Amino acid sequence: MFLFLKNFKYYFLGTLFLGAIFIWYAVLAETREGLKVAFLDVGQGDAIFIEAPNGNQVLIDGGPNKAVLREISKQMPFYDRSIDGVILTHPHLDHYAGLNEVMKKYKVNLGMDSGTKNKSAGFAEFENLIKNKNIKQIYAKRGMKINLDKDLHLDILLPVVNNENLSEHDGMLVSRLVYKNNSFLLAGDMEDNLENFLLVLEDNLKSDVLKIGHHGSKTSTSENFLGWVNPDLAVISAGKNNKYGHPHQEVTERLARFEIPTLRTDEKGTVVIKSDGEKNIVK
Amino acid sequence: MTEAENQRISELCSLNVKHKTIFLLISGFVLGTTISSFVNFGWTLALFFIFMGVIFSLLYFLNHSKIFLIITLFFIAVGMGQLRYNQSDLSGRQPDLQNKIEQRVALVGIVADEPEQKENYVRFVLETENKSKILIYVQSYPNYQYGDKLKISGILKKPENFNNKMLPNSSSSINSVTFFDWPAYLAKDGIYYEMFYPQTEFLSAGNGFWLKEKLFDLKAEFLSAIAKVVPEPHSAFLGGITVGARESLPESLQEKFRQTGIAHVVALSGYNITIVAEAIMLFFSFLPQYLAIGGGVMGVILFAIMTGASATVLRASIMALLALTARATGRIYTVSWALFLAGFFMVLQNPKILRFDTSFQLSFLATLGLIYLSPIIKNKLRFITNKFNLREIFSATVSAQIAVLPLLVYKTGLFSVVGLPVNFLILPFIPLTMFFGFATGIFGMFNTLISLPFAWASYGLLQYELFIVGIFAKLPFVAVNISGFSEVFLVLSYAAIFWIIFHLRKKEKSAE
Repeated sequence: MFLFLKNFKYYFLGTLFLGAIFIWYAVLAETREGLKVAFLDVGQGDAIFIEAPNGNQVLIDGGPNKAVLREISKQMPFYDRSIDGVILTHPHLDHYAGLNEVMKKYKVNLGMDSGTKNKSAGFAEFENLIKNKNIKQIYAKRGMKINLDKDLHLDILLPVVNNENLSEHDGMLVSRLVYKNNSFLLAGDMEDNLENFLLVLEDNLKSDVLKIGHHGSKTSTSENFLGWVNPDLAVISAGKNNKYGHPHQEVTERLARFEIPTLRTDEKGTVVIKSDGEKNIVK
Repeated sequence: MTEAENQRISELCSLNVKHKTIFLLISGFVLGTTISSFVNFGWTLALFFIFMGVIFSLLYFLNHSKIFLIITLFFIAVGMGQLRYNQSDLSGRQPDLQNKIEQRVALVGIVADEPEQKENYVRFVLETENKSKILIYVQSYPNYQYGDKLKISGILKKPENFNNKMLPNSSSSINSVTFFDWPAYLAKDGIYYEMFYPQTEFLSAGNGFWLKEKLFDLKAEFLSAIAKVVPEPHSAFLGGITVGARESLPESLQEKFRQTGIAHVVALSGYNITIVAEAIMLFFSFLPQYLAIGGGVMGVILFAIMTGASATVLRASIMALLALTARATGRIYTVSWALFLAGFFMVLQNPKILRFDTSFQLSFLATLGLIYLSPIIKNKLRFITNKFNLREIFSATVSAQIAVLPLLVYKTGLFSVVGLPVNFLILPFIPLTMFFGFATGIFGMFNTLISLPFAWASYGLLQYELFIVGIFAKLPFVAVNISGFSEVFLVLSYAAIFWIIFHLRKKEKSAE
């Protein structure tokens, strides 16, 4: 104790020094310019982290395991232990498992899914977590618009109805993130039948960035759909050497034929895109 | 003459006939189990040795020469060692399952240990009603726990070696081509069967040992309290160094730990347990010494149970306590006797660990290093300041590293060039990290807000430790593949180490 008092000024200075570092860290972390959309490298699965200019955070899908936890901690300051909303596109393990981990370890305010259900134990846990952690639950439906910030909103394009008996891929939650003049079409695991259905419903699907459906499976991203979306950039979220062979060669060749630059999480790791509302910059 | 010198002399004198006899018996027994683990002739060879022993005992009765008695005892001990090995090898192979291999079977059993959460699957040991153990691989969901009674149905398999088996999520990043005997590794724990992704049905919970269940619950709460305030991968790392949590560290990070020679920190080695024991003793230090030590022992036992109570951790704990006693009392002779006795009882309890349990071998060698090498090295390192216990830490690090190095290189075929500097840069901060980690978890179980400052402090330290591992792992020659390190080199290097220790100790004694 005496030693502590004697060295008090050093401890005091040290504490001040660490405090100063912390404050500068926080200042840098909280300085945001524009929108950040990160397609996280979670292996074979989807996880898309969105941070609005005002700091609102949304996670769409969580990948197949807890890998998402270390990926979002690279996108957020270490003291930030809350996420405003989690969205599940459909109840498959490579989409919900990571969200379960996130709900266990972060404070989450809002949970959204398409209302499609199945009997898997992991999805039951997803629903239990929403209930037990008092997370406000919403079923997404076409026409909904989630305001994340001034000029930034997430438009729900699908599903048209909330039907728990639909197959997982037919009851897909498909959304478009719009920030001023920039837009991101997030296709989940949508397959070509649903793509055609969406083309009938939606007059204008043109988007700057397309998250390719179903990890680049050949059952998704038909020529027709790709032509109407006409993205400047495509992102494929797939795991290295995954057992399904995603992304399929048909899809990568199709993208090459359409001359659409493509970024893959199995090659590049996490893909971060920043937008000021006029231009997208890949980090 | 001081009291210490008195004690020393009496210690030396106690190297009497009794100790020599015990030493003889133990080494014979250990030799017997070793022979059986390499070539197993069943009962015949064991009985042959015992028979030889009987013959020499007859010779001893005819001619009371001491050498006959020694040979008698030695042969009988070798025979006993072989008998024990055979007996342990036979138990656990239930004939009713043995002829159902590659068939679909339905069984009821209890989850016998804490399930291991891997990144994309879960692995646990199921003990059936007639005590057969099966290693089961299942999906991450549903969550099963220790003590759950399950009904499973799947294809029974015999464990096979890695090169002809596709493990889910097996890492292809391990570049060193070393042979790892998976069936023998499982057999040492009495596991002779595997089953991949069976259908499971939950029957009931709470069929385990109640204290173990309670402590596992406590550990789960502790870990979730940490995970709420410390981000990944830091929290997985912290769970590893505090309670040896089996929650998966990312494979890429584990590979970096191996390359930089720091993997032992997250494996809950004797080293971490030593720190825990020291902290508990410090906490009880206001009590008389024997009570403080008793508190330390009790604490270590509870801690060992909480972390999984695997035989590995229990053995590491016992050896950690011995190393601590050696350091506290300086009575090398007594403690090394205790270590040999402890080692003997561990081999007696499970004769297979001697050859097939690398962690037993490493713990034993590291403890030997701490007992014999560390005082010598500490004397040579007078130039290092003893502020913050630096000299102690450095000598302990170096001596444990030297003692396990040949075995590690032999087992992994990998020599970490940066092992020593990385250990020296990281180990001094581990006790403090553990302290903040425990504080985070314990306060966090009551209130998240109180745990925040501790969480941030441990985050800072963990960030530093991961940063060091990260930059050293990036070096081009971080680890060298030594695939030609054969048994001959292994024996030669240990002979060299023993010879050097022997001479240095002799020199020190004559200097006194």
